[in-house]
Amino acid sequence: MKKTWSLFLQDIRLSLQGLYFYMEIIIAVVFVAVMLFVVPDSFSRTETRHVYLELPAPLRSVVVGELEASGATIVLANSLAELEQSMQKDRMSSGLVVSQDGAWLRLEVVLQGHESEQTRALLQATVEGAMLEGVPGLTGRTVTTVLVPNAPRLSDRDSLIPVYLTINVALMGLFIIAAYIFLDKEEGVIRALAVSPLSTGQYLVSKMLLMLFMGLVNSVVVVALLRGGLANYPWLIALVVASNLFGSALGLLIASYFNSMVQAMEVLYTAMIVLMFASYSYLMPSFSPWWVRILPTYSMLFAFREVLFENGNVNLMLIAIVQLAVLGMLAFALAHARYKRTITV
Amino acid sequence: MKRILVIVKRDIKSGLRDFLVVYLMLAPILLALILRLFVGGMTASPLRVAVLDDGSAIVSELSRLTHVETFSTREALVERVMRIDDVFGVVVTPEGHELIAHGNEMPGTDIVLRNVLRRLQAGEAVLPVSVGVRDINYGMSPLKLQGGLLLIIFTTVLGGMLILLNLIEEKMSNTISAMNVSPASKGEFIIGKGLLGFATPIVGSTMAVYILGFRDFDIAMFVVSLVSLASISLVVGFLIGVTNDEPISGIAAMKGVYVPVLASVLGAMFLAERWHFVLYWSPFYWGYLSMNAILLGEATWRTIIVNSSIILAITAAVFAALRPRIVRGLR
Repeated sequence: MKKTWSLFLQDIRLSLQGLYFYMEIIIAVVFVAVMLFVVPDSFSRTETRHVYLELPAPLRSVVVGELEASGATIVLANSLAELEQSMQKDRMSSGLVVSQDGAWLRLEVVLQGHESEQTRALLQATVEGAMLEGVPGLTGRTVTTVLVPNAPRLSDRDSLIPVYLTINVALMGLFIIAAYIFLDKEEGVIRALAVSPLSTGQYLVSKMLLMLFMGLVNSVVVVALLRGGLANYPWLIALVVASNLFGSALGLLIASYFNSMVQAMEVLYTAMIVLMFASYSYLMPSFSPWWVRILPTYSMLFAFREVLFENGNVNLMLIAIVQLAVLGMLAFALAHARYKRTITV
Repeated sequence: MKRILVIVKRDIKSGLRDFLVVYLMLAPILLALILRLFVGGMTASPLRVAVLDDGSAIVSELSRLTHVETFSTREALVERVMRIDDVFGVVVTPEGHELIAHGNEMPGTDIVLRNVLRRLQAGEAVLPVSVGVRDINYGMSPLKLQGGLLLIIFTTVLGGMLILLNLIEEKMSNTISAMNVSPASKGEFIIGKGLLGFATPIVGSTMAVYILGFRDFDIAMFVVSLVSLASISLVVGFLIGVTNDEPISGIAAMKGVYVPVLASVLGAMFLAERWHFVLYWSPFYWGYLSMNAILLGEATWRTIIVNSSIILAITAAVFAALRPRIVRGLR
């Protein structure tokens, strides 16, 4: 333990002489500045809806008022052709044609064309259901049971913090630890260590501790500046420890199959992008297919969200920490076994 | 020219030996396949519902509209709702339905489900309104388009990153010093060293775009834009490669480069057009615009030539300003 600690202190001293540590701090500060001064607290998710009304004037103003109350940005078109042209210019928009069908209204939702049959059917049912609101006799009663009333929610801006913490803190070691190992290999440090009383395991742990040190500094700076006293710091630190060690161990394992950083880069890069697919499910929680749910970053992102609350979901945080710790240990054991055979070669 | 080809040949030979060329080709293809899987999942309904498997019609009714999971007991259903993703529980009651929510779902999703349940409760009754859905025949998913654009830009940046790492490794193994006493000039060395990291992402990106299902675009415009985009990655890769002596500081510098790359691409995607002028300095912004227009099938040669010229002009200006530093670093 003492030897690992000495090596870790030496690694810190060396890293403070290099560029990387300061670059991490600069990126953290830039992130905080962008979050505070550029990113709004709440993202306006207003959808643009192009509307063509084939209605008499008195009815038009009533319908426009109703549509504007829905929260969407309403752009009125003078003809069906104009509506379609406007939609072609803005591929994220939708359209609506409102006309009279005898005594009733006829609504025609106009979509771009990439939506699935299921999405179209859902949309139709939603619009029909909305039009039924307040109509007596046609529908039953829907009661809502909320399992956790007043469950805390992050602002849209703060919801981005877990994504940053996952990319830049938890998975920091994925690339950098590999770079450290290859650098030591290249400079002959590993050969020197081979004749020292240090074991391979102690050498690897020292590198992981260095990553952890940087990750802790980075995460505490970002969370303290953005969340202040609202976060749960003991859980934050526990989660950063588990996730950062997992990222470093995974980086070590991947790097153990390669002889140079250039060779390892592609696999590390791909691993990073695959792991970050979970961030889409985090930002859009209704999209959670099994292959995203099995990514370790999936529970990690939600656990990082919970640590940003004073009283976050303890079960969720604990499960994520245990899961990451187990996976990290497994990856480390595999990497250790491989390095024991290959690192001095 | 011959000396350039010798350097390229040597790089390809060593690249094939340590599978670098294979990885460079495979990474965008693999990512395209994953993206395709991802986009495929996204076309499904945006609503997930947990219901009791008690033989009631609600399972088949909701399956037509949403992603449905069935559970045999209420406890199991509640446990599912309490998990981290957004899944609502629906239980049939004598009066209608009970909607079970965790309480932390995205705002608005419960309203969609309430409307759906109201529609199901009305059954075959004649509605006071008729609703239809049609489209304007544009089948390309925005997620596939934006994902494909990000993939192209990141693949070219990756090319630059590999050049820088390659250079740093050459420096560390002192092969650059050996180059100084070889007949190859510095310019020939730069071109020779850059070609591999320049060409392979171009091939990889082209294949990735085909895998994603883009067919009706102008391949000549695509290649011209890709070449201009790769040129800036090349200069950045060289600059970082020659100014850093070890991979950690190289990766640190590259990490710094990712900030403007991401900012310009995400800015082009999400900023209102009146704010786009703040991104004019970034060649990645112009590259994004070109690629977007090409994949949408809306590009004209005039737009491509203007955008590519801007990218090349910025690249040339950066290279001219930093040339002495690059040449010094190659010593």
